[in-house]
Amino acid sequence: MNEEEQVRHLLEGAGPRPEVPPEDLARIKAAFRAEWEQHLGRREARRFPLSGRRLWALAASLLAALGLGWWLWSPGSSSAPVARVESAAGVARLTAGEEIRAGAELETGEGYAALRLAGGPSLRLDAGSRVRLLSESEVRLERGALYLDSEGAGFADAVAVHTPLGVVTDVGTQFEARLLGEGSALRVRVREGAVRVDGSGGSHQADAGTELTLRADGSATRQRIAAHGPAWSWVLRAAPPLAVEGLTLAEFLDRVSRETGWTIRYADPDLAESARTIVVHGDLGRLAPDQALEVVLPGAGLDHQVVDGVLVLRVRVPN
Amino acid sequence: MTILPSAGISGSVSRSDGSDLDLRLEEKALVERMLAGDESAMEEFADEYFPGLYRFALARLHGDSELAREIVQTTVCKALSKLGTFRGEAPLLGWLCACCRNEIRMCFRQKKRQPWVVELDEEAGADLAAAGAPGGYLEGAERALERKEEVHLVHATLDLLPPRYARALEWKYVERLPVKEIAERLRVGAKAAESLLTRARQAFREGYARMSRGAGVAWTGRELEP
Repeated sequence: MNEEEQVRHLLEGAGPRPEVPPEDLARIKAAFRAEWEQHLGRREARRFPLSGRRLWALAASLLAALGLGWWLWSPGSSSAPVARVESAAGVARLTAGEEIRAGAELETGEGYAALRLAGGPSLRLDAGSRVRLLSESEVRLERGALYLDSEGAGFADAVAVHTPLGVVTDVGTQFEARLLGEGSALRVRVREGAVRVDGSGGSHQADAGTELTLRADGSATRQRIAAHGPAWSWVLRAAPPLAVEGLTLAEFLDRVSRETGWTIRYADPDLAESARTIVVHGDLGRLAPDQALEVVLPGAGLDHQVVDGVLVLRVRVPN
Repeated sequence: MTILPSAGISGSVSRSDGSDLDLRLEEKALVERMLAGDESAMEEFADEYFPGLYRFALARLHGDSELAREIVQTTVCKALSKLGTFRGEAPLLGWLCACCRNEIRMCFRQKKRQPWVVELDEEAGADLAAAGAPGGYLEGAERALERKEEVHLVHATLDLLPPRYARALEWKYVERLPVKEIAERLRVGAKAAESLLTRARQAFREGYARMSRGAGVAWTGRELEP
């Protein structure tokens, strides 16, 4: 194995670094900001004691800033929230629990975000993305990529994703929509269910396992894509924390399957039955769903193996 | 309405080719801008360095997230008065970690705390065993522990690299992004991105080798040296 392969092997095996709890990061940042402002204030006071003229100037600029700040922060204050932030790893000025109103523009920079739309679907944003939430069922993708999981049937409105090249409408699905090459093409990858893409060249339907690429000239190409694998790793990274306390092992595995795209297979039918009666306890912190398997399954005396997107579970045989 | 800054590295468009000297100079410039009152520099400093510092503390505090938060909060607030002496001769995160290590030592001394080992597998396994699950969870816990230790070493090595190196490596090998997209995210040309990846791999190998020689802190209580 050459040196690059060694590095690749280690990094691929380790997966992404665990995210810091957004609320902890927000508190640290808030405390630091307060300290920083105090540090500046002390230094400013030493250099420029406030005179009468400076006080008036300061008051005037403060009023102007407040006015501007108010416009920036609440132009849509009369509208009900259309989404709630579930996690926002590394995204400045976005914190878990925050409500987002219609018309809000969100930009992730180098972080990731997971939102819950008011209608129920889960919306995740990749790093380097910018979206505008038009309503609880309409999103405009302006840059980068988003992932939508409508988590099966039961929602009154399908979610429509508007892009410069067309509108992607979900029909009970998990899919990723990504603008490529500064918006010269739209790529849609469907993991589950189906989507319809209405572009300048007409309407296209894409079912599970399809990657559809739509170009500015209206042409479209398709290819098959697996529901699992590295193409979806950013989605795992952007996922909100996995709460497992009180879940049965079967429910836990269903969650893992949904997040990873793996198919669950039990080597033994009795094991499938047992999984519905075993209850998981504990807190996995920020472990990603695939990493959580390494912690939960040994405790249940189970071995696992992933082969071609199939997670096979069997009882461990003692040595 | 929530307005976010236009980039995760807001306020600091990098014009360097990502060489080590450039990275050090960038870190020094970032600190100077922050101390001069530049709010975007303050935000960038927090976003770039606090997560790695938190993970550094968490590993030494045996997963106690509340204590990790307190220690990191104290560390960064105290570091503010000393940052004026930072000259960019060493990595900024390494400098912050050294401050954090002192805070942790003081905390242990004050609280007369002893390290303990927390086995997530055992905690979950005890309940599962009580529920009648098949036995043998301790063996599985040990294997899982070894695997977790290796993962921890990789992550700790990444955290101690310059943030741009760590991000570039994760984009390339974990998310498998093409170099072109990595270059766009780093705001450099493709050749510069390749060059940065080469340096990042080298830095990672060296860091990982050092970590492996002193491995064992996260789960046994021994100190980990960056």
